[in-house]
Formats: sequence, structure tokens, C-alpha cells
Amino acid sequence: MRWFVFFGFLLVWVSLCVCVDRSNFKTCEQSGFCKRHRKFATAQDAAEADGANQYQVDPASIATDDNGLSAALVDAATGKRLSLRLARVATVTGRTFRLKINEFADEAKRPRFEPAPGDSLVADVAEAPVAIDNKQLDGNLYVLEAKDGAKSDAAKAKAVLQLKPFRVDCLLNDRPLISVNSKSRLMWEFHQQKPDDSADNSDGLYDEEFKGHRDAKPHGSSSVGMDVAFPGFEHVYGIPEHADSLALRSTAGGEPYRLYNLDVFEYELNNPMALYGSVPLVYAHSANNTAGAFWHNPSETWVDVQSSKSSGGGLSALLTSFVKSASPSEALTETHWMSESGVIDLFLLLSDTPLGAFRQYASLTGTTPLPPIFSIAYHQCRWNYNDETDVLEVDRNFDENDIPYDVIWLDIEHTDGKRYFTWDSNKFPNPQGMLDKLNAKGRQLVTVVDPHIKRDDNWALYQRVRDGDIAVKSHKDDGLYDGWCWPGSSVWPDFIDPAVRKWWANEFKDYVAAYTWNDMGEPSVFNGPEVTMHKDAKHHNGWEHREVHNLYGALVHQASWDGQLVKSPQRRPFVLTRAFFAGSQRTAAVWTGDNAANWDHLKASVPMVLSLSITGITFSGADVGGFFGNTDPELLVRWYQAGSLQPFFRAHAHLDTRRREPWLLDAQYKEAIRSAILLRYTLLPYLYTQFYLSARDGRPVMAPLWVYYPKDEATFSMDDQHLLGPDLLFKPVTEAGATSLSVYLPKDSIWYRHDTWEGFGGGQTVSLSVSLTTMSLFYRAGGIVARRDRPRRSSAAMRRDPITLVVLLGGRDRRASGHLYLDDGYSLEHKTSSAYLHCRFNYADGSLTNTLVHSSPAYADADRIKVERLIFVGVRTRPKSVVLPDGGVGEFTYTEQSRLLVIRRPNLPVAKAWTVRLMDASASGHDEL
Amino acid sequence: LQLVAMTTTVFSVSICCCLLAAAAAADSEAGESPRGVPRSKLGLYDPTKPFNCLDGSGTLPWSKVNDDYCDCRDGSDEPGTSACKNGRFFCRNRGHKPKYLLASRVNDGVCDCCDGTDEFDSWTTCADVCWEEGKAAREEAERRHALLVEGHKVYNTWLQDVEPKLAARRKRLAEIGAELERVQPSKAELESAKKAAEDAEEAAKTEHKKAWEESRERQRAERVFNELDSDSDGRIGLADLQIHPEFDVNADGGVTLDELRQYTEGLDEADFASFQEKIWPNIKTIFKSLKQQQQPAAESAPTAEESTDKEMDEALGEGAQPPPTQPTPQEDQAEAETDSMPDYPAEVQELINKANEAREAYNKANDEASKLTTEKSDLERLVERDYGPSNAFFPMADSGECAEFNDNEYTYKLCPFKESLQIQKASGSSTSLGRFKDWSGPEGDKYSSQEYTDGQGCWNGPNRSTKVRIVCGPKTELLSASEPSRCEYSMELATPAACHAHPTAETVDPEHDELY
Repeated sequence: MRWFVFFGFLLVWVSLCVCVDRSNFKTCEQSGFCKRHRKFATAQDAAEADGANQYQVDPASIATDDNGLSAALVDAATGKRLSLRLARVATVTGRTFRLKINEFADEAKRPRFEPAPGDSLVADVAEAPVAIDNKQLDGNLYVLEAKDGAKSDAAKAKAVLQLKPFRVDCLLNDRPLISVNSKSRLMWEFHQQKPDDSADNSDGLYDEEFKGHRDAKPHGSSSVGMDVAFPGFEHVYGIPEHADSLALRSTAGGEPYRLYNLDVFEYELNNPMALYGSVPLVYAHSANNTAGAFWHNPSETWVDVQSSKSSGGGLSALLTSFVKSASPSEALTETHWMSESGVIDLFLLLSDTPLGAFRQYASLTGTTPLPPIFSIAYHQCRWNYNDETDVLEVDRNFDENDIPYDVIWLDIEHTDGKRYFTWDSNKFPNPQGMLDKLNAKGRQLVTVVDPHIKRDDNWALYQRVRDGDIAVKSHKDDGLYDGWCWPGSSVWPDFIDPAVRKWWANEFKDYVAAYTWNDMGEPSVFNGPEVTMHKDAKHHNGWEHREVHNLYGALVHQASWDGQLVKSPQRRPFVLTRAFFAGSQRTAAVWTGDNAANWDHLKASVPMVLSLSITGITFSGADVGGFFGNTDPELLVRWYQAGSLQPFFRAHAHLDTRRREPWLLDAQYKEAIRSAILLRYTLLPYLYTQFYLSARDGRPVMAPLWVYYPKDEATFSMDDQHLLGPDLLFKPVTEAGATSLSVYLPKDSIWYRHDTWEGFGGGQTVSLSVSLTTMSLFYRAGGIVARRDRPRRSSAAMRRDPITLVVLLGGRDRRASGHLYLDDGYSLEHKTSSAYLHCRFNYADGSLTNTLVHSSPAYADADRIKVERLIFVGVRTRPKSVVLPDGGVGEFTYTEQSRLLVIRRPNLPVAKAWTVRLMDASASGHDEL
Repeated sequence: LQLVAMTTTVFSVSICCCLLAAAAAADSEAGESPRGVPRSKLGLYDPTKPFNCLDGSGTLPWSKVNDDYCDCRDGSDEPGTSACKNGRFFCRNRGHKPKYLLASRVNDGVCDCCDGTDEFDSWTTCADVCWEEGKAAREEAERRHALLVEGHKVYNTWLQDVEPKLAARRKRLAEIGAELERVQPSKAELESAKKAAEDAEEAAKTEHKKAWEESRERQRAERVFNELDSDSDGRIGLADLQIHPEFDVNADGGVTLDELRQYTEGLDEADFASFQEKIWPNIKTIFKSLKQQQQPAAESAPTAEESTDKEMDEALGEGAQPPPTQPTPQEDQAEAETDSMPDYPAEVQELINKANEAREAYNKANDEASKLTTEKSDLERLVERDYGPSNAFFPMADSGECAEFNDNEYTYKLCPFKESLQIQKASGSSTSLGRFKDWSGPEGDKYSSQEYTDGQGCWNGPNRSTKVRIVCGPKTELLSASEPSRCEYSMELATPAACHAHPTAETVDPEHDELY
């Protein structure tokens, strides 16, 4: 949602440009600390040989313990000291190290901000034991080797600390995956006020100004920076949010990637400008390994990236002699991290595979809890559905046109004058009544609640904020920080303060609404610098806004999540946010903000959502149709098709656009949209199961191909197609007038088209001819996919529907397996009383078996749910018979041409273990299909 | 049998109601029928025989009918379950209208049939509310029917008006034609008379003005001459000029005789006549009175007041009136000497009066003609427009009456065949939502809606427009108005003009499902 309706005087100005006005946002050169760190990097590169300006570990200071070591880092040039902690941490694989650099508490002028446990990290991260060896190379190396009886794999992870110059290398199976500070770019600015007027401020060290906004910096600069290199890796990914390719580009000679949550009006594609949210996490991936670096710092951060195929690995001479197995690749990717304040808190993730690395990150920041099933169905949104009549009319039209949808959304116009938590009583005289009507059809309502509070002395909620020490304060006079947003003059609750979050959560108690949409949490401040809050605004405990900026929005949606639990303690919350930070996945879904109705934005939605997906933000999507501008019907159809196979599936449109609900389109377009939505609904059991698995181990639901095909190098820079769980592959059409589409099918598998069951070998690009309704969706041989082939008007209406299992055979071993997770879809009973069903299906040697991983009588519907149909794809010969668990003979049809076997109504209860056998014509009865 | 025969004829709503009890009894005789099948199709669902898919796509054993698995391509084997995507479930809804549901609505937790039969195996319990809903629906139908009947009555009276009113307008159109024919020639005559009178007027005025300007110029020359003629002997010499620094051509600080002779055309001395003829034209723009040069303060840098004004002008922009400035001393003096042009002499005034009379006469004729022309084109549009079958919409256009609808913020005003307006209640300010463009109903139902386009422009968007849905009602009234998309408005207009159809009673027939 954007603000151009608001400022009359801005309107004319805005209308002159068709996209973002870049000059409203800083370049690295305009950001003092970024400029200084880049300068420093250049200087260090030049000085590399002489070893000056290098930090080194004071050997006398080293204190080892069970889990790692602590020491003092000394700046060779100035003698200034920093405290260093290097330890292994207890993640699920045990292959994670943490490197923390801060000032010694008794020497620091001012404490440095660190997010509290539960803000971004899921909790206080426990350390894990290591064996320490410092006998190598005259004691200049300290080798920390994982010591973990239970997890033998972990033992292969090592961190090697080099004292002089200071550097840390992380190895897995003695192969170096990450080198920290190998370029000696560790730079630390100690808080320092301007000594006198003559002090050199040319690089904005003491105060800065941008577009008429002065940043007083009362405590001076306090930036931190360091380099993190990935030897043996050419491809790196992550650090969302950018409207750019999935694989990060080299930033040499250009702008670094910027992480600074901003409300960017009509954002531009293919550049590293900051957007609404940030996850300071980068993954490097090669055919051999995946490594990750999580730079846990919520202040403004810039990241330079440079990749090369052959730069020799960059190992120090010392280390080279130590490392036994050299990297198989000469490639090297270097990243340079620069943050405006805070500490260096770097998590180093070592893995053989992407999924292994994701699990480690999930151990740190958590996973997306299983969402209520309606929230992974289809959402209908618009700025704005005007009133109750309008809402119910839209609802009725979905039924009339037999198009399913689960959730209708209300944007800011539903409020009483942009006072969130209130309703415009003229347009919505009876919100509860309206909500009841929607609920009666199994449908839900989401209303927007933004974090800015209208300054209205006659409004009780504002009075509470005003009088309750709740809002962010101005640095000037400690009065309320005042800014402009939708309601005009507003204040912002200080979500950094846990007491404020609690207050906010309680405000939901009497709010007549169900689920919540948090927009503008960057925070968006229309008249602030770069459309956000002044960096010197004051938070809880005197923290400056600059220290907490990227965390603010995440704490907003966290508090809203808590608010839903306050209101309905038995129900799974659902919150959507635009602003986010590492850990946001625990309490919100994310959408990619205010995109535009054009083909390029449709295309960009895929890498953007992929980038979020691999950095923990599992539950994300882009506005279907494009927010700004009118869409043409073909684009809208293609966007629905793309969105129907992304995790979060919501259509949205700007206030100034023409209505575009599916039934307003000509029949052929309406039908194409309808069938895309229907496809989504039939796949809900599979999708829901993927969300369940993701909640357990942090795997992405929507994944780049290399996540499941880590050795297939053809996929490493591919971001126009994706997987949905391990078994579905999809490439959306993103070109106008397309009649054909090339799809890459990864190696070592066989792929079946979802509409014809035509099979294709992997490791090739196939060309499909496409019509308006064609969706290039493929099923993977080896998978077993659960569907519900009776799409209904809402997901709730399907809760007892029977299952169709698609068993996909092919490949060498002709085995297949898959999961099915089911529960009531909305309550927390799957957590509180394990009320769920988890089936594992296996097919091998002619037998399809259902094994119950978990079942519970507390999930009552489970007993009513049957498998109504078994579809075997890739069956080479007609079976002689099908034997059902009760010994009865199953009725089936077999189509030789398409190698399709369909078993009719085997009536298998999902909640019971069973085996179905396919008998072949030979006497043994053994499968030879 | 007789009952069935009777109910197939059309009953009025109230008679039907009392037959419902009898119908219920008849229904129970139907016995075990497959779920979701209307009686009319019971013959196709015979439990004693294999079932033929209704589209002929296959034959199934009876056990596969309603066994919750879709076998027929047309979904006909599962009339009572949700198994077929294209299936249909029939609910009888005794006491209300029977209906078909999409199969996907069977056992989906939502009570779609008022008799609740669609949720026979569901987590939702549905009561049979057909009697209550049916009653309400019948009352509503009755009410609606009454409106239609009333509307149709009015429609018929309107129709009677159409031809006479159209004839009256056409007659008036003919009259206007005649009047215009009368007015146009005399208008032409008056126009040439006006032109002649104005020419004479203009010439006389110009002459008068010229004489006045010449005399004023002579006065200015005389004033300067007298100032220069220091000894008042009626002659001036170069010495008189030499004391004026403005004649310092080469700006060396002194005025030489040669420099002066450039202004005097070589004369060293002149009386007034030769001064006026030769010298005055050369110096009149540069000459500065010494009297003023002695008080330079008044003329130097703009005063504080002036500069403030200037800033204010700039601040206010173009629209602002510059504040009155102080007359400079020079202007002061000049005005005192020359004042304004003297009144026209009687003979000129006479010509002016004549011209005024001619203008007035012409304007009157012109006004009359253009009024008639406007009326004519308005009437032509009115008479020639498409008013649908029997020109039923003509009276609505002819009356020129507008209909209004109020919501909290606005009054919406629709003047049919003219324009659509939105009036803000608080300010009274009015915004055009479009001017009548055309009928815009779908093919076969063209007169069910109208389009109004080219209203006031929207920022960054289209010009406002309105789509008006037209329904039958006993009087012309605006039923609703809204803005579903930005600057695209939607209204519903009820009018007797749309009541051409003879209303048939909407029957709620308990045995109606026989028709399915």
C-alpha cells in the first residue's frame, strides 16, 4: 500500500516519474559509514602485504573452555582492544560456529545494541563442546573441532582461528568453506563525539545530512564491518529483500546490496536497492557443499559481493599447509559486510547440502509454524472493498462463478479515519455480523492494522499511547516522535520495548476482527528521511533508531501475532507483514510489497520469493496481478498461474486501478484463472504437508532447483522456475503472447507433466507449446503426492474430503515415497494435544504401504478420511490384479499408452496402516511393472 | 393426478400456499429415490437396472450410483454426492423453491438447501427452514410483483403520453424552424447596419483621440522648452542644453557642443517651432528635468515598501494583484498638465449613440437566433434519440427530471440522458460523473443499462464515468450509487419505462420440481 493519494502536493511530482525516484534513497557514497568502510577496504587491499592496520589476537588473552575460546583482539595500528568469542553452537547438525566481536563492557563508552533472545534468534543460542588444539604452527592456530558423541557427522566441522593476522576459517571434512577476515577488513568505529569544529567530517563521521534531514548522531559513529569469503564457491544467494536475481551479482564498481527496511514507492527491478525487509544471511553453494553466514545485526547494513571462478581459493600460506584436502574448485566468492552500529555476531553454517544449511539456520531463528490451512489457500484483496455490501457481493460472486477463495481482505479504508482497531461505522455498521456471514461459509477476514497511531486526543487508544510511555521519542526534546503517515500526524509505538508489545497484543482483545495484516512497518514515515524514521529517534532504554531499525517491523508483527493469541488462545494466528527481519518467519507471512502490473514484475516475483524462501521466510508471495496499474487479462491469467504455485497466494490491487476480480474478465480468461485456483485447491494436502515438514526442519516450501538437486550445476543461477516441495516442479509463463516455453528438468529423475502424464528424462531442457490455460507443472518420479480432487468453495469445506494419491514411478529403483499431514486446519490442538495425522507412503516392489508416523484420536476427522483413488504414473505393464488390505480385489483401469494405472475407490482409511499390492502376470506375484 | 395437472397451471402466489400441505403428502409417496435426483428424472435412475450415464458415456452397475466415486463423464452417476466436479445435486426444498446445487456444495459444511438435505453427512447440522424462507420469499415476491404490476400500469400511461409528447416536441421543432427563417435574414441586415454605424463611430473617435494626443505632445515640448529657455526670450541655445548631463554621449563627464549638435540636428539656437520640429523628437526620451535630478533620493533604489511588495508578488504568483504603486513625481507633473482626454464633442457622441443602438438591435436579434438554434439542436437530440421499444423512455428524457440518491458523504444525481453528478454534502461542490453516451446493455437487452462518460478527470486516471443499470419500478428513482473502481461509478435506476414486460405471477409451486 502506498501513500500517493495522501499528499496533494506530491501528486504532481510523483506523476512525472514512472518508477522509483532513486534520488530519495541513499547510495553507498551518500551513506557515511558505507563510504568509509569501502574506503577502508580499498586501503586494506593495497596494504595487504605489509600487515599494518590489521587486527591480531593477543595470545596472552586467550581463555579456552569446553565450547570455544575468548580472547582480546588488538588493532595493530591503534592498540585498541575488542573482545572476541569463538564457539560452536548447538544447532541441529552441530556444524555451526559463532564468532562474536564486541567492545569489552568495562571499556565501552556506550553499550552496543543486540537483539534480545526471541527477537530474531528463537532463544538464547546454547553453545556446544569442542576439542581445542593449539599445537599447530607454533601456536598461531587454534583449531576448534566439534566434539559431539551423538552426532558423529558434526565432528567433521572445524573452526580454525589464526591469531596474527586475525582470521577464522571454517572447514568441513577438512575442506575450507568459509574464511572470515581473510582480507583484513575488520573495521570498528568506537563511539566518539565530534572533538571540535575543525574535525574532519567529510565522510560524515560526526553528523550527516540527507535531503534536508539532519542526523545529529549524538553518540557519533559506531559502525562495524568485516569480510567473509567462501573459497570454492562461485554462487551466493540470500540477503533479501531485493528486486533482483536469486544468485547475487558482483557489486564491484556498482552499489553494494543494501539492507535497510524502506517503503520504496514503485520499486525498480534488477538493482540492489533496499526494500521493505532484511535478512542478513548469505548462502554459498557448490556441487560439493553449502555454507552460510548469518550476520546477526539489525542496523543498516551494506554488503559487497565479488565472485570469481578462479581466484585460487584465497587461503593464507599458513592455512594452506594445514588444510589437508584442497578445495576442488578454484572459485572464490567474497562478501564484505558493513553495518552502521551494533556488534559483529556472525553465525557460520557448514553443510554438505542446502537443506542441511537451512536446518542450521532454522535452529537459530526458528521455522514458520504450521499456518492455518485457509492461509495457504487463495486470498482476495483490494485497496479497498468499500463497505459491507461490497464485501458480501464479492463473496457471493465467487460462489456464483464457482471459484474457491478462503480469505477476503480489508485495507486501510475500512477504518474510522485510519484509526486502526476501529471500523468506519457507516460503511461497516456490523463488522461482527459480516464476519459471521463469511465464517458461515468457512471463509475468513483479514484487516489491516498498521503501526502508526493517529494523533487524535479524543481517541482513547491514542490517549493510552500519549499518556503511557508507549511511543518512540524524538531525540531533540524527548517528546513524542511525530511523523506523517496515512492518518496524517502520527506516533509510533516503541515495539522494541517488550512492555509495549504486550500492550499492543492486548489491544486486540476487544477488536472485532480475526486475522491481521501489518503494513508500513519499515516503519514508513512519509516525511522522514528515505520515507522512514529519523535515525536519532529514541527507543526503549535510550537505543537509537539506527540501532534497531531493521528489527522494528519484525517486532510489530510479532506483537500482532501475540495479540491474536490474546484474543483467541485456541486458534492459530495469521499475520501478514511487509517489513521483516531474520526470524520473522516465526510470526508472519511476508509479501513482496507494492509491485506493479507488468510482465517484468511478474517475472521478478519468482526470484524474489525464492530469495525469501531460502532465507527462512518460508511463507511468502507477491501481489497477484501487480499492485500498481491496470493489468491486461493475459498478464492477470499468467500471474494467477504463477501465484497459485507460490507459498502465499493473494491477489491485490491499488485504489486507482480498475476492478479485476476474475468474473469481470472475458470467459476464456476467467476460466483460465479459475482453473489455476482450482489446481491450488486440489494440491492443498500436498502443500499443507510441505508446510508441516518446513515447520519441523526449516526447509523451504518453494525452492530453487539446486536445493533438491545440489549437484546439478545447470540450476545454480536458475530463477525462473522452481520446485514446490521435492515432488513438483513449475515454470510460470512470464512473457506476453507466449506460445511455447522451455523448461529445464533436473538430472537424475524423470518428470511427468501434470496434465498429460507424459514423461521426460531429467538433465534436459524441454520445449512445451503453451496455451492460455497451460501450466507447466511436473511431478517427479519417486514422489507420492496427496491431492484432494474435489475443490470446493473454501479449504474448510474440504476438511473431510477423500484423498487421491499420485504414485510416480520411474528411474532406476522404481521406488516412491511421500508424506501426508492432516489436522483440523485451524486450531492449536496439533501442538497442545498432538491432534494430527502424519502418514508416510512408500512404494517398492509392487507394494504401496501407508505407515502412520503419528495418529491421534484427538484429531477426530481423521477416521472419516479415505483414499478414494490411487493413480500410478509410469506403470510399464498392466497388473494382473490389485490386492487391497482386506484381501479383496481392487477395481482398476490401465492405459497402456500413458502408462497410467488408476485404482478405483480402494476406500483406504488414511488413519490406518495398510498395504496395497499390484500383482503382475508372473507366478511369483512380484512386481515387474 | 388431478393435483399435478392443476398445479401445472399458473396460480397466484397466495393460492399456491394452501396447496403445499397436499403436496407434502404426495411427496412421501415417492418412496426411496436416489439422493439428489428430481422426480422428473427418477425414470432414469432405476435401482433394478444398470445405470446409463445420461450423456451416454457408459453403463454402470446400479451399485456405482451415488457410491461417492465419479464414473460418468457428465457426473450423472453421483447426483447425491460431491464426487463429480461437474455433478449437480437437486434439493426439493418443500415450502420454498427447489434448486440444483453444484456437487461441490454437498456436505461442505454450508447449508445451501433450505431443507438441509445437502448436508446429510456433515459437521454442520442444517434445519429445514424452507417454510420460513419460503414465506419470506413469497412475501418478497408478492411485493416485487406488486411493484412490477404497478410499474407496468405506469408504463402503459407513459406509453399513452409518448406519441402526443413527441408530436408536441416535433411541432415545436417545426415552429422553431419557421422562427429561425424569420429571424435569420433580419439578423443579417442588422449586422451590416451595425457594422456601418461602428465604422463611423470608430473613425470619429480615432480622429478625436489623435487631435488630443497631438496637443498633449505639444504641451510636453512646450514645458521642456520653457524649462530650457532660462531667460524666457522664446529662444534656446546650446548653453541651455549643456547643463543637462544626459546629453553626455560618450559618457566622459562633460557635454560638448558637438555632442549637443547631434541632438539639435546642427542648430545652435532654436525658437519653439524649430525646437519642436527638429530637437524635441531627439531628446524626448532621454531628457531629464533638472528639478527632478535635484531630488534623487525619491528615485533611487526601491524603497523598503516596494521590495516587500515585490517579494509578496513573487510569493503570491501570477494571480496576485500588484499593490498600487506611488506615482513618481514625473507622472505627477505630467498628469497635472495633461489630465484625461476631453469628452467627445456632440457630433461624435451622436455617432456613438447610433452605433450603440445598432449593436443593441443586432445583439437582440442574435440572442434570439442563437437561443432558437440551441433549442433546436436540443430538441433534435431529444426527438431523434433511441428510446427503446415503443419509445418508452421518451417521457423520462422529456421531463428532464433528475433522480437522487444519498449516502453518508454524497448526493448522487442522475439526470437521465443528460448527466451523472456527485454532490458533496458538506461543501455542496458538484463533480460530473459523466455525460450521457449511449445505451450499453448486452446484446438482446440493450436497454438494461446506460453509459455516462467524459466526466471530470481523475488524477492519474480516467475521466469519471457511470454505468447505470435500469430496472423496472413504479416511479423513477435512484436505488443505489457506488464507486466500485476509482472514478468508475455504478448506479441503479428504477423507472416505469423499463416495465414493458407484462408481469407474470412468480409462482412458488410445491410440485414445481415436476418441471425439472
